[in-house]
Order: sequence, then C-alpha cells, then structure tokens
Amino acid sequence: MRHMRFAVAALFVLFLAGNVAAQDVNFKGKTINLIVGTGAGGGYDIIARLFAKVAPKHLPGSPRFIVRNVPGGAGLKGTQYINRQKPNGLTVGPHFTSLVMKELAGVDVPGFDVKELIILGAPTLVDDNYTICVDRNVAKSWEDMLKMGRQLRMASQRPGIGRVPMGGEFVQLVGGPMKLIYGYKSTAEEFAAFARGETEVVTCLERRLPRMYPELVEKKRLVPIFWWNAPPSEGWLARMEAKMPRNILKLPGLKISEAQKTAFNTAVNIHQSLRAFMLPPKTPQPIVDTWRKAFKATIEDPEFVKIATVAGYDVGYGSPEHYEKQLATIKDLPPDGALFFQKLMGEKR
Amino acid sequence: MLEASVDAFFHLFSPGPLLAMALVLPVALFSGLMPGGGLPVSVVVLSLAVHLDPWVAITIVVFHMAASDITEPIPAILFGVPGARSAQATVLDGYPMAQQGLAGVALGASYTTTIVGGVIGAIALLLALPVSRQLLEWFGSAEFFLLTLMGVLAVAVVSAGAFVKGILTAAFGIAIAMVGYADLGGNVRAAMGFDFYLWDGFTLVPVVVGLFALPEAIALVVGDTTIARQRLDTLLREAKSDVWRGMLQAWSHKWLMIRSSLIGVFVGIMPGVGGSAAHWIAYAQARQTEPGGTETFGKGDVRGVIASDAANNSVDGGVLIPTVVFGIPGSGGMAIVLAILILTGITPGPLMLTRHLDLTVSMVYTIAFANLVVVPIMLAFAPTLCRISVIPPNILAPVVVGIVSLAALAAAGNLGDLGAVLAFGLLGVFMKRYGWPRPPILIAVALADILERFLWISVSNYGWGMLLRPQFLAILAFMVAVTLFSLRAQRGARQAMMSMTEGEESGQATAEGGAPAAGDDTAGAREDLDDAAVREAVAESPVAADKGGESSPGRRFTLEVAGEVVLLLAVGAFFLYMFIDSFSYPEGADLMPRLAVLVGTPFWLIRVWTLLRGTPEKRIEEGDIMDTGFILGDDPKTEGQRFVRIFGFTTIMYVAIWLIGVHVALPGMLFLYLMYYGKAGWLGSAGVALAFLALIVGFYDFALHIVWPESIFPLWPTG
Repeated sequence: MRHMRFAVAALFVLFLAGNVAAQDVNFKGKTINLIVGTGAGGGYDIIARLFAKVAPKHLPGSPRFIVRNVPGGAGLKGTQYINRQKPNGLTVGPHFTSLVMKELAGVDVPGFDVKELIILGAPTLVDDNYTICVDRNVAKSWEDMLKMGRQLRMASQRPGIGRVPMGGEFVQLVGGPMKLIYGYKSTAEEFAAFARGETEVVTCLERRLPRMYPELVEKKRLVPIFWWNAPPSEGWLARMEAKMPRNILKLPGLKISEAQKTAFNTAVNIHQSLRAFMLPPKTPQPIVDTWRKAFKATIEDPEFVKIATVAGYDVGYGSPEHYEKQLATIKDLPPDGALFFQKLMGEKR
Repeated sequence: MLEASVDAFFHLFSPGPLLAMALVLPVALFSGLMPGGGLPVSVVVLSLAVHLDPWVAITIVVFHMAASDITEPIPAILFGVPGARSAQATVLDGYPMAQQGLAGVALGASYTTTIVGGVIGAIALLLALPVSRQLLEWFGSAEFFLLTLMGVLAVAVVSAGAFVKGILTAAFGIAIAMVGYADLGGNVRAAMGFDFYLWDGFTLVPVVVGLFALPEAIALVVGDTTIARQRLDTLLREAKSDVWRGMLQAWSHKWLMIRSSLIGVFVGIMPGVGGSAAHWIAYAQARQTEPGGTETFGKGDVRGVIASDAANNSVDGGVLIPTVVFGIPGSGGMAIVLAILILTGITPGPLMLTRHLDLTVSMVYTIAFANLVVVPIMLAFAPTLCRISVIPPNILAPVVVGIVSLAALAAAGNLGDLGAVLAFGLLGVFMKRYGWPRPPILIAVALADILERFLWISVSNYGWGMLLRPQFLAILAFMVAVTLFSLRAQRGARQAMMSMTEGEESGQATAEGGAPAAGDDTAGAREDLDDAAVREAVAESPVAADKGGESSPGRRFTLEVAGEVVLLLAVGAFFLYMFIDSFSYPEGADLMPRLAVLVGTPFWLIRVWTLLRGTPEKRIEEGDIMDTGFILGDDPKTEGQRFVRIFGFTTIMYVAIWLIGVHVALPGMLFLYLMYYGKAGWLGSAGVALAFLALIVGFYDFALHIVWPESIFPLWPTG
C-alpha cells in the first residue's frame, strides 16, 4: 500500500512536471538553427527559408531563425549534423526521404537511425498528379509503345531517386518498354532533353511543364500514357486534348505482382512526405509537442501558403502520424516486396 | 524588345537597384580578391530575397557575380591561384608575368580585356535573346559533350611541351574526379575507405587550394623570394606605366579579345556545360592561332591573359540564358539567381523572354554596368596591388595560406577538406618540383563530371550515331576549319617574322642556364611588346630559367629522380585501385574511370621506362610544362628547413583547427608565424591576426552563418 501511494505520488509529480515543462517551452531571445542538407538555392533550401520567415510567430517567444546550409553526402551530412546537436529544440531541419528509404531498404546509413527519427510533419504533402507522356512523334499509345519492340528513352537523374521519374523507374524494373537514361542534373534538364527530342518519354507535370515549354502543349506533342499517385485533372487533359490515361498498376502487357504493387505504393507515399522536418533524437516530449504544434500552424498559415505558392510549391500539411504509418508499411513488406523496394531505391541493381 | 530594353534601363537605374549595387560593390571587390573561390555573398541575398523586391534582389546577385568575376584574375596573377570556376587559365601566363615583375602589365591587360569581354558578352546576348530558345533546342547532349571535350583537349595544348606528362596528369585528374557518388550508377566510387567524406568526391576548392595555392606559398618561402623576382628596383616606380602598357597591349590584340569573348558567350549559353570550359577553349585557341603562341604561351605571354579573361567575363552573360530561359543554371552563382527568381514568384522559361523580358534585359545591363564601374576602380588600384608582388615571403605566404584555408573550410564546412588540401598540396609540390604540369589536373577535375554525364547521355540516346548528327558535324567542321585557317595564318606569320628577324636576336635572347630554344622563341614572339624592359624581363624569365635548369643534360638516377619515381608510384597505385574497383560499378558508372585508366596507363609506362631506362636527356622530358617551376638555390639543407617550416606551420594550423576550432587556431597560428618567422613585430602580427578574426566572426559567422566543423576542445562559442 505504501509502495502504491509512492507510485501514485511519483506519477502525479511526473504529470505535473510534464505539464510545467510543456508550458515552460519558450524560445524567447533564442536563435533556432534551421539546417538544410543541400547547398543554397535548391528546393529544400527554398522551403526552409520560407518556413523561417513565417515560423517565429508560431513558436513561443518568437525566436530568431538562421538558415544554415550543410551540404554533402546527398543530405546525410546535414542530417548527421542535426542528430549531433543538443535536443533542446534549437536545431531543426528538413530530413531526406532517400536516407530513410535506404535504411528501410537494409542499407546502414552512418550517423542516422530511422528508429530515432523525430518527425515534425511535412510541408508539401499534396496528392500531386504524375503522368508519363510519350512524344506523339514517337508513339500515340501504350499499345504503340509495346509494339515498337524497343525501350523508349526517359531522362532521369540517378537510379532510385525522386518522385518525378518514379513511374518510369517502376515500368523499367518490371520489364516495360522504357529505359531511363541517368545523368541529367535536374527536372529542368529532363524537360529540356524531351523538348529537343533527345528523349521520348517524360513525366508531364501539369504545374511546370506547360509553363516552361508551352509549345509542347500547343503542338500536341504530349500523349499521356499512365499516371500514379493521383489522376490528371480534366483541365490538364483538355489542354493536351487527350483522354484519361491508365493507372500505372493496371497497364496491360506487364506482369506486376502484388508485392511489387505494394512496394511501389509505399515508395510513392513516402516520397509524398518529401522535406519533412526533424528534430535531434531524444528531444524531450514537451519540446517535440510544442514544435509539432508550431510546425502545423506555420504550414497552415495563409502567409506561408501564399509565399510558397508564389514560389511554385503546393503546400499541404502532412502529420507525423501519417509519416510514421507509411514507414510501418515498409516494415510489413513481404520478402519479395522488400527486394523490389530495394531495387526501386536504386539498391541491388 | 525595344520597349523592354528601355524599361529595363529605367528600372535598373532607379534608386533601389542603384543603392543596392553601391552597397554590394565593396563586398564584391573584396570577395573576388580572396584566393580560393571568393565569398558566397549571394547566399546572404538569398536569405533576404523573400523580403526584397525582385529587381533589387536579382540586381544584387548578378552585380556581385559580375563584379567579383572581374577581380578573380587578381589572385591568379599575383598569387598563382586560379579561381574555383573562373580565371583558371589566367594563371598560366599571369603568374609568370608577375614573377617577371610585370604584374602591372598583366593587370592592365586583364582589366581592359575584362571590360571588352563583359560588354561584348552583353551585346551578343541582347542580340541572341530573341532566338535563344530555338537556337538552344537545336543543340543536344552530343554537342554539349563535344564542347566539353574541346575544353578537356586544352590539356594537349597546355602540356604541349611535355605531352606524356600532360596526358598522364590529365588522366590522373579524371580518375580523381571520378571519386565519390556516381549519379549514373547510384554507387560510391573509389572512396578508399572514406565513404562518408568522399561521398561528394574531391570538390574543386580544396583541389585548387592544395594544388596551386599551397605549393606557390611553399615555393616563395623555400626560395626565400618575393613573387616578383625581376625589375624589383623599377617595379613599384613604373607600376602605373606598366598598367597603361598592359592596357595598350590588350587593345593591340583586339581581335583576340573579340574572338575569345565570343567563345565565352557561345560556350556559356550551352545548357549544363557551364563556364569552366570556356576559358580553357579560348586559351587553347589563342595559343594555337596566335603567332609564336606555341612557344611563348605559359611563359608570361600577355595574350594568354587576354584570351582567358575575355572568355572569363563574356561567359557570365552566356550562362544567364540557360538559367532564365530553361531553368538550368550554368554555375553556382546562377543557381542562386534561379532560386531568387523562384522565391519571388518568377518562373524561369519562355515568359522570361516575353512577360519578364525587361528583367532579363536588366540582368544583361547589370553585367555590362558592373564592368563599366568596377574596371576603372581596379585600374586605379592596380599599381597598389602590384606591391603585393614585393611583400617578403614569410609575411605573404602565411597570410595566403590562412586565406585559402579559410576558403577551403568555409566552402563545405568539412574538416576532411583540410586533409585534402594537405594531400593535394604535397602532390602539387612534387609536381611543381619534378616538372609535371598541374593545369591538366585542374581542367580534368573541373570538366570530368560534365564530360562523363554528356558522354553517357549521348551514347545512351544516340549511340555512335551522335557522330553523324548535323549539329555535331557543324560544330566539328567549324572547329576544324578555324584550326586549319589559324594554323595556316600562323605559319605565314611565323615565316614573315623569321625572314625579318633572321640572325638578329638569336644570341641575345638565349636565356641564361640553358633552354636556348625556349629563350629564342619567347623573345621572338613577343616582338609586339613595345617596351624593351618587358622583352628583357621575358628573356630572363625565372620560369624559363627553371626549365632551362631542369633540361640540362647529365642528371643521373639521383634522389631527385627517385622523387619522381615516388610520384609515379602514387599515380600508378591509384590507377590500379580505380581499375580494380571499377569492376564493382554498375553499367555506366564504370565507363569513364576505365577510360581514364586505359588512357593514362600507356603514358605512365612510357614515363616509367624513360625515367628508369632512358638517356639522361630523355628522363627529363621537355622543360616546357606550362607551369611554374621551383627556384632552388645552392643550399638544399636550408631550403629543406624552410619547406618543413611552412608545411609544418600549415599542418599544425590544421591540427589546431581540429582541436580548438578555427576562430582561435587560425589567427593564433598566423600571429605566431608572423612574429617569429615573418619578423612583423607584435603590432603587425596582432593586426593581421585580429583582421582574420574579424573576417571569420564578422563575415563568415554573422553574415553567412557558416557552420564550422566541430572541434574537440572548442575555445570559441559557436552556433
């Protein structure tokens, strides 16, 4: 009985301490280091700078933000830097999905443990449409592509990366008539290669491609073949004067196993949480809670939505729970699905 | 177009952008003067971009980029340290000129060329803007590969006098550039157990700093000499007239300026190729086409400076086109421009040529305006800058080492980069000492990634059919035609020159200490220089003297030859490692490493054979290595001690940075060196140390928010 009283008292003290701590989290007069694991000027960097502009008003004490670039190792150096900092809530930054995917694919990433990851949320979680289009001068349908008896070329940056060419990577891996040419440096270079006829297939992003290459739409060079994540809008199809293409997982002539489908869907979902922000491991729960609340408020702040939209980003808050749920699905993959997932990630080639 | 041009003019010269340019001007000048890559000032603007008017933000970044590019040839000429992106070829002739006491001439020529290159680049761009999209969509990866290959082929030009060593070092450079993560295969190549550090490979700044800055600083201390080794009595007195003379000489080579500027524009506008290839191509064409160029380039020929700097500045305008029209940045600076456009809601693409044409034109104006403002300022300061060339070595060398180390450390905030600086520094010292040309490594490291990407993309997309593409053939035919025409013109000019000067100057111009052929040609080809002192200086060039000394016959298998054997063993071991490692690479990622090894190995074998079995004369391959040699005296022991002193200082400083952090270690070590070896006195030494501390804290910490590597026992609060 005495022990019971003691335990109840201890729990009560802990509860109070937790509450007090939550109330005490205040960043007044402090400086938050927002660490970006790429050089200045990239997508991660731009989102971080926009976030740093709006976030102070949503954190208790309105701290000052400094964006610091720690490039190297495809984001690994910046992630490691965040992981080494004191868990006091003064260091934060977008993490790199590719690192998480590598760890989950069985690769030991040094200085990074996915089990210790503390996610605040994702800033650009939207159901983007990804549609693969073929050059009308080359083929007019998926059936045409199959009949050609060769692989059609699609530009990409490197194996297993990026949500933009992911459909092409998938079709190539399951033996479809597509071949990815690696070595292009950006999505802009991939578009340019398609526009000048160097490659034959491209991911025709509704928000970017027509703005950069309106002539591709005007001259009706784009034939939508298949989509993933979300179907193309009616408006986009009308501009291309095309009918609704097929879902990537329902393409005729391809033998796609259930495990492969699950692996692909998982990879797509994880990629949707691109640029999710993280805190150093072992950050106390009150600080994590404060940050998560502030993160959500920042992403949903009309000011952030406005400036991010102006900069060309679709804003959508992705909760940490959503992210963790996606991670759990990878762990549940069957062995053949896990192997295929590794291939999708550019491993086990 | 006319309306946009007028709008752009009035926008640019409104109070906001004008004030912004005035504020950024001193920073840009200082930034370009820093050897080892300058300062990433644009990042500061990026931080402010969301608060700024797009016109102001864009103007600041473009103005800063253009202005700092104008000043980048200064470290190349005065310290022998090429820029990380620009002014790389300038070092080949600019630094020998400074050694000959002709820094003023080189600077005068450089600035004149700069302004012409910048303005020609801007005009060419204005004319090309309306058709740029159609023009650029006509070219593809095969042509980008060809243009990059032309830049790499400059290796053959810059190592013309030492072909075997040149090709060998270029192949070695490409192998070095292959280290790290390969996009083509998604794997890490040849990381030698340092997978994390070498994930991104060897970045250009530590390579440049190690290969060029450190050996030059060491050479100054070991030789106990100032940069200028001739005309010491007249150099400062005649600095102003030297600058004027340089300006006139540049003007007398106006066609070379125009030609090189147009090369800069053309290469610059090719999406993805970037600016690095431009000045090497311009330099190579000048050396091959200018009368006597094959003999005098690399020994302090002002035309080498002109060709390189003209392309160096016109390329700035060129890289704007792919950035704004296709969203493909041609350089790090342009990546910031692109980000600012995006942050301010402007999408790169065709709208930049219609709805935002005024903004695009204003960028071209900004580049031209930067040239018109900065060049006169630099011309006014040029005589003062010449004083650097007579600063005592034990003061100048540690300061240069301090600056470039800071640049290397700040570039990526990686302690491993300091290790790379030391490793490449040793390599550079060996290469400099044993007559191996260093520029081919620089060319290879700067261009290997682009070359590999476009080779793979071209072969994958076109197969060998790329060789039959009309565009490919058109560029190739143009290159061949220009070369043939130029060679013919050159032969004619040389014959005319020989008939005029036959028998007149052959004895007079022979350099003391050997290398009679080089001496003859150097003096003969520089007849265009109107100043007797200049001709005399070239004839007595320390570079020519070095080479002459090296080429004297009779050297046996000495310790000196053994040193080169060590160099060869290191290169051979790396080739072998890379070759074996390449069998674990996925398809695509293995192509370029194997090519580098397969091309380099025969030349490696030839060099080994020559060194071990050849005649003494053949062991010492030609002296004309397009690089500055080591001046050594008669007291190897003292020189050895000096080497240990400066290299030891650098090593200890780096260890101290690791232990106690950059804020205390770097100024502290500089203070100690300047006190004890530089004899700069308490006040002078403390002043320099405090200036460094102010630079680190004021600029890198507060303005740039650089993340320094964490030290073991930090003595300075950071973060």
